[in-house]
Amino acid sequence: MVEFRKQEKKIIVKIVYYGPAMSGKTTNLMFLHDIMNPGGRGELMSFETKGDRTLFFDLLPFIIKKKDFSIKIKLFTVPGQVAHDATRKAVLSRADGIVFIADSQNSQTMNNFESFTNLEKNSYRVGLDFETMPLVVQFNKQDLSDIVGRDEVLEKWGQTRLPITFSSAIYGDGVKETFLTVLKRTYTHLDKLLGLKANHSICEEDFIPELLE
Amino acid sequence: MIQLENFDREFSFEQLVPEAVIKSVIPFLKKMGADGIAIYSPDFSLGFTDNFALPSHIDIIRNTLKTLSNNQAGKIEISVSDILYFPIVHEGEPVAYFVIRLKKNCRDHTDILMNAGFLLMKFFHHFMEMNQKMMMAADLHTIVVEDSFTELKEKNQKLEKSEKKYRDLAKSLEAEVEKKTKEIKYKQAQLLHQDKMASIGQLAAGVAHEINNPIGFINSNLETLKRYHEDLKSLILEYRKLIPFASGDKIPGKSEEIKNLIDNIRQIENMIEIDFISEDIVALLHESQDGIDRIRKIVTTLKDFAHPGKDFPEFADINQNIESTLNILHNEIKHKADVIKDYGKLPDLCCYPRQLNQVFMNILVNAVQAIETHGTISITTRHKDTNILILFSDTGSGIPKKNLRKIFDPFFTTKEVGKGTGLGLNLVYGIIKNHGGRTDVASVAGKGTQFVITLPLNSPLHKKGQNDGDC
Repeated sequence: MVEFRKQEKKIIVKIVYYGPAMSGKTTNLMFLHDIMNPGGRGELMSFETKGDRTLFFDLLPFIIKKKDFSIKIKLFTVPGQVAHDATRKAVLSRADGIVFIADSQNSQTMNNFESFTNLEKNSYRVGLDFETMPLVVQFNKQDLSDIVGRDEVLEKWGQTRLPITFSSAIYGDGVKETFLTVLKRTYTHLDKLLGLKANHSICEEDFIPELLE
Repeated sequence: MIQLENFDREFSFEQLVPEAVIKSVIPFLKKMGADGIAIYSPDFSLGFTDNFALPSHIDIIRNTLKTLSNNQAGKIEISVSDILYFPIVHEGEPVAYFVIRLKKNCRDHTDILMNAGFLLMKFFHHFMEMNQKMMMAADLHTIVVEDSFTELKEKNQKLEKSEKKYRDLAKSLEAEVEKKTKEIKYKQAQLLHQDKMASIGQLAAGVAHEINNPIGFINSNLETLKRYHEDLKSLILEYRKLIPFASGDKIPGKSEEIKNLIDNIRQIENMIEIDFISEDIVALLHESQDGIDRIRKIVTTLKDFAHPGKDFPEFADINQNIESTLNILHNEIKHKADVIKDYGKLPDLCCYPRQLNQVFMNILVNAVQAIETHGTISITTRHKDTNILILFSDTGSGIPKKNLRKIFDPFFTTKEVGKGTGLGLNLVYGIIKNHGGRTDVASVAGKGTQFVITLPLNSPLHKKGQNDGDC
């Protein structure tokens, strides 16, 4: 849940990268870390186990400083393993925006579906309104062969009316696009909720950090 | 329950760097030439201080910090000393400003303290990151554990609830079973009674025939006797006319009249065949008496057989019991089977004779029903050691092997619905068991069936009978 610290003139926004195990959530954050201006961003805090699997979560915080206020955005990833559902639920709590990272490989179709169902269920459990929640779906690992075709993805996931992006996070392709999409959606949502523009003169561009090309 | 803090909350400098950590580095800074230490918050208010009281300095520093744009460390020169400031950055923004004021006239220590300050900046930066990582992980872990615990508790509650439900269900089931058992027992008793009634009904038909027959001829004999009586009456009237003459008053001159009377009598005697009548009357009376005897015999056996009264065991001759049962079934058996009896000499048995009659009847009726056209029923009784053995063999259709185990089960029947209750042999089994005996059966399909009943002479009944009954 967005935190509005009026005295400090600071908004704290939480965006959660959700998805099945090994779909590339941490890779997305790593790439974002690399292309962000070091001035405003914190370190990428990772809790990894041996198999490069996220045990608890990853956290990448960054600050966008404007003249009259600052916007702190915290990017989290959840652990994808089915067994870590309680952790996933806790990390998802209070999210203001969600990126769902799907694995494009044919073999992962079922896992994507299960994880998305799990997201829907956990959203409900932690009291998030899944219907209005800013949510972007990213189909990652586009660089691999034996993946579900884009047309098929769009046909199947188009019914959700969610914005869908395609990426190859390991090479950075599409990561920024996904990120910008979720930021814009989150801004629109929070603006509706808090009147960011009307009451605080915060506009959409203010939500977007300086990123390298 | 513990009030849990959100693991993803904002952490302040004070939370991430305990005062003790700062205090532990102060002596070293002082050795390097530091005089006072202060820590400013991100909103530039003064936090921790050590020997840092001059208001003028405090404001100078605050104003300098407010104008900082890129989180760079720096130096403020004051009259007799230098003040060094170091923004402590965490998550991309300053969370504190570490300030060192040099001792008076110690400007030659500025460089070394500057480097010490840089070192502290790095140290605090990494220390905070590590500490936050640890705190977040610990808090998240607590949340997860608490969550799992709550979930387990809920599961446990649900389990307890369902367990209680099942316990209650089990209880009510027990009661239900008890109730049903009672009902079944009652129904079974009713059925057994019905079975008895049915066999009595079956008997009644046979008995009616047996009784009707003698009643028929007794009736016809009585009709004949009535007619004979009319004839004899007319004859006697004629004889009476002779009486006055026999007294001697009217004899003279009346011989003609007498002769006529006697002729008349002779004529009547011829007409009514007096000789035949007098013989036939004797025959008719004999026959009727026989018929009445037969009826009496049937009624007596029937009474013996179906007598509901006595509940106490008494001594009985089993051969006689079998004989009396055969009597009752005479009409059923005579057209279908020849009965071969081989009675051994038996001691009197302490038993419920009427119950045993029921046993013999059920077996015999089954035997008759198993015989399709005409066959043989053999009955053998023997006294062997302390037992009485009774064998019933028939040349009926036999019992298929698969049914043999089930024939004593209650309600097992191969007869058409409504024809058999399935209780006949169950009753046999129960009664014999009650007498301390056993019922064995051997059968070959198509050849016939043999029942062997073994009754012990000193059964538990014997004792009971000695106390309450006639034994």
